[in-house]
Amino acid sequence: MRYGMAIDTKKCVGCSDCVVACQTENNIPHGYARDWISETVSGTYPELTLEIRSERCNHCDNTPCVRTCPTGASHVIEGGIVKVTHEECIGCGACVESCPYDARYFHPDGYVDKCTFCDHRVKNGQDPACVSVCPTYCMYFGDLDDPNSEVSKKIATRKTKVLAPEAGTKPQIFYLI
Amino acid sequence: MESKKLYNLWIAALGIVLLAGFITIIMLFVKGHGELFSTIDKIPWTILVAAYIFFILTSVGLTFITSLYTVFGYKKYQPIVKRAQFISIVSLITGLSIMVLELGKPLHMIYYVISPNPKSPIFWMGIFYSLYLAFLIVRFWKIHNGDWDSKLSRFAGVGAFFVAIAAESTAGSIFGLIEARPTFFGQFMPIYFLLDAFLSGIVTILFISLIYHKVTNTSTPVLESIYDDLSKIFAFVLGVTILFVLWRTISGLYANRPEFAVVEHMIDSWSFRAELFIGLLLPFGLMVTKAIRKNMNAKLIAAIFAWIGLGIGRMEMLMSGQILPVMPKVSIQKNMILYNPTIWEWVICFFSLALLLFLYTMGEKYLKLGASPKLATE
Repeated sequence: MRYGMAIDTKKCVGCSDCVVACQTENNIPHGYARDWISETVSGTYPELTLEIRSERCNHCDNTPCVRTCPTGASHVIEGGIVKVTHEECIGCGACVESCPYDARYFHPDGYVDKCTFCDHRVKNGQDPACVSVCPTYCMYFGDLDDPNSEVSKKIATRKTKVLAPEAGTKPQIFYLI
Repeated sequence: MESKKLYNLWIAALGIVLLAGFITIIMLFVKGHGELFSTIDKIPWTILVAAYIFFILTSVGLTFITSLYTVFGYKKYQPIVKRAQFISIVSLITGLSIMVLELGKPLHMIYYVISPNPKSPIFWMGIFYSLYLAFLIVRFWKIHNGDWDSKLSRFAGVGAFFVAIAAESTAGSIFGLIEARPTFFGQFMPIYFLLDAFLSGIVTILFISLIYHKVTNTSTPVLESIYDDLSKIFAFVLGVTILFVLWRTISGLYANRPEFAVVEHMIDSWSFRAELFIGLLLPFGLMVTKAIRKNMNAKLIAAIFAWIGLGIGRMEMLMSGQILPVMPKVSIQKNMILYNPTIWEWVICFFSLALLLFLYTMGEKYLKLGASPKLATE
């Protein structure tokens, strides 16, 4: 079992519904976010391309954030989900610094917080909140080890990329381009 | 009478800063970091981490100074060992205290023991600094009781030296192992920390001792000869540090990765110029000129400039790795991130400095920090 995500950049309209759903589902304090929308413009006028991406923790296979955590608060749970146990986090910030995706934030209560793939929903057979609300169905979540899962099929049949591959972290979120 | 008045004034000034600090600490525990500090998720390591580094560097540097006698056997330097050893302890305690205040959840440090992660440099730093503090305390206690050369006393002194190297280079590795921040990443960072520690130690012992001797009129030819030697080492270490800062800057300008754009930004900043010109080049110029170096006041002025430069330099180093966002987020955050410490963060910094100076003053008053076996002072 290896959870992962595929996000179709051709279908994402950047509505931020995923961001709002995450904030509501996970009770994220005002001004903070576990996921966000990025826009990249490439090319030269008039041949311009706009890519919109819904981004979050990439739940990497090679995790600098877990390595650097002195108390083991940052750890990997079943299915490869990278989690922070708030009760064990001392708030030193080492994981925030070591994440090449800037995917973690300091909760005002003093600990570090990040995307969990909504593991509490996944345990009950549901999709993460962001995936479930997407109005264009641009996000696919599931087991990357299962070749018959929708996410695996999308990755197998479409051209994909990951963010900052040069970081060597083996991200498990794939962007369909 | 005059000196008594000056002493009372000094204690009152420190008392006011300490009181302001204690009030801020209480507010910090009641209101939380989010309310009082401007630490943001994009820049997690801010001025309190800079202050923490400043104090631990100073502690380790002072241990390097004591090692001239303790490890390398130069008896001439014995008269400054006890003072340096004591300031090293209070500097370490100050640094560790400020670290606890900086942590979001300091009480969770129990998980260092319950669920340690040996792959984490911060875990090892914690282990090494705990061991280092223990060695320092044993060594100081032995010296205080007149035991300079028993097996245990020497073991603690030599042990403190080697653990200090391990602790300080591990502290440097916290930055040096962050591949996501290319301006931090690299094998040079642990070495840079050791170099800066040595500089901090020399600056601090000159700064504090020369003021102490000036105020109490206790300078002797033996002590002046020691400070003459230290100022030569001071000039050498300043020279190496200048080379290091220059080559770090030049390599940053040559680099192609977008994160190194921060180097150009830094060169244009007042802080970089202050660190280089006031903190490094000016004291270097003073200390390499023999006629000036011989003068005790010139040594003190050079130490003060270098001390200010070290403070600014710590902040400069920290910000260089953080004011540009990491790569994928550059598309939504293209500009340098601004960080300005809040008044409360400044209060905590001044509190830590006052704490160090207060503990040192008490040490000077009650622990005879200038004491050494008679043989060494003759």
